[in-house]
Amino acid sequence: MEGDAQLVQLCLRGDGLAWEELLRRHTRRVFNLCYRFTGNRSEAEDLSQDVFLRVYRTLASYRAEYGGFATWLTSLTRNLLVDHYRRTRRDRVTDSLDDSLPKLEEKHSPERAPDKLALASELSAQVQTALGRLSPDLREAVILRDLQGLEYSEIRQVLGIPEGTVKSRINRGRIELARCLGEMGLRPE
Amino acid sequence: MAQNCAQIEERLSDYLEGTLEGEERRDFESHLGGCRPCALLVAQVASVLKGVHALKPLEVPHGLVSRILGATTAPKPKRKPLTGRFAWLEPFWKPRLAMGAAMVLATLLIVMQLATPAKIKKLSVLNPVDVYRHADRQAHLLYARSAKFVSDLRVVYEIQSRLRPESAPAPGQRDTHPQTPQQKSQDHDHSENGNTPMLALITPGCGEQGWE
Repeated sequence: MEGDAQLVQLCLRGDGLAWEELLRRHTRRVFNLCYRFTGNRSEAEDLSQDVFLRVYRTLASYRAEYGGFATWLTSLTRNLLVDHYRRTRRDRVTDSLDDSLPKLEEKHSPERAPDKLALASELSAQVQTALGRLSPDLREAVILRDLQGLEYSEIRQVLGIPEGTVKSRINRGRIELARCLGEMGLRPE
Repeated sequence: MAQNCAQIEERLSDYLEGTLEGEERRDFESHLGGCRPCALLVAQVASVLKGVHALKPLEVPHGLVSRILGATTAPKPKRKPLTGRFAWLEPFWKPRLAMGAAMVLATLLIVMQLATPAKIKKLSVLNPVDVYRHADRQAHLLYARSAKFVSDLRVVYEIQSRLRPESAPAPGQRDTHPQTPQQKSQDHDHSENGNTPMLALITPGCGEQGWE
């Protein structure tokens, strides 16, 4: 199986299958990043499409020597999210997320106990609500670290800030997230 | 070294991620043992992180990948060629040629706007002799207006330059320069009032600056 850098080279030569493979590998992550940041499913879909349209147009600007394709893609996604946030700031009602709750698996699967599924769904919804209450810089730091699993060095590249600032934002974001969830009734186990 | 609550908050992520070691870790845990709010905060953050890390990523909405593929790799629809009466335009129906033609047309319209009378009641007005005469007249009018403007500026400048030496005489020069009786009376008036309304209009601030 080719790496991302090789797929990019094939895409630049016009290989449609390579582009499709690249999409299949990264769409889920981009969609999750957009959804966790905006809290709105349809906005996240539109933004994900915009991200890949931009990737398609600017693929030639990707340089493997500057970092992994996933980091470049995350950086591009983050920039679009920032633009979107600035454009919609005036229209936003910060405390309500009206088309926001994720539709997780709704059908019961025989392998999982229904209560665990319900708990996971409820926690996801509560985390999303709490994330919506964080300021954008803390929110993106927590999403990138704790939901996307990026390393500090990758987050530093994506956000373009020093690693110390990255750690500070993640720390403050986590504390704020815990406080918000505590106010919503989530207690430590 | 004992740590306070603010320091505990700062190092909380390092503690949970296991990057605090040795004495720092002992001090941290020692504080937690004696401070209930900090202990509660650490437990809360640890629990939240455990839950968050266990969350599975959401599934991609159905059809999103297909839509993106459709938007990026689908062939662009070809324009239908012109037929019928406009078929002769087909070789010229290209963006570059259309742009050039539009610019030529815009230039012609601007030149006609300047070179022809404002109201064109009939097409006979557009004969070359009349167009030339009109354009010539417009050019002469423009020249005359510009010359008058420059001449007016000169007059204003000369007035200002003659008034300025009178409005702000140097302290040592007031007694030495011979003044006509008119100039003396003007000085007297100005020194009393501090300003002259008419001069103030032409040279703003001259009444405030040099009279004292």
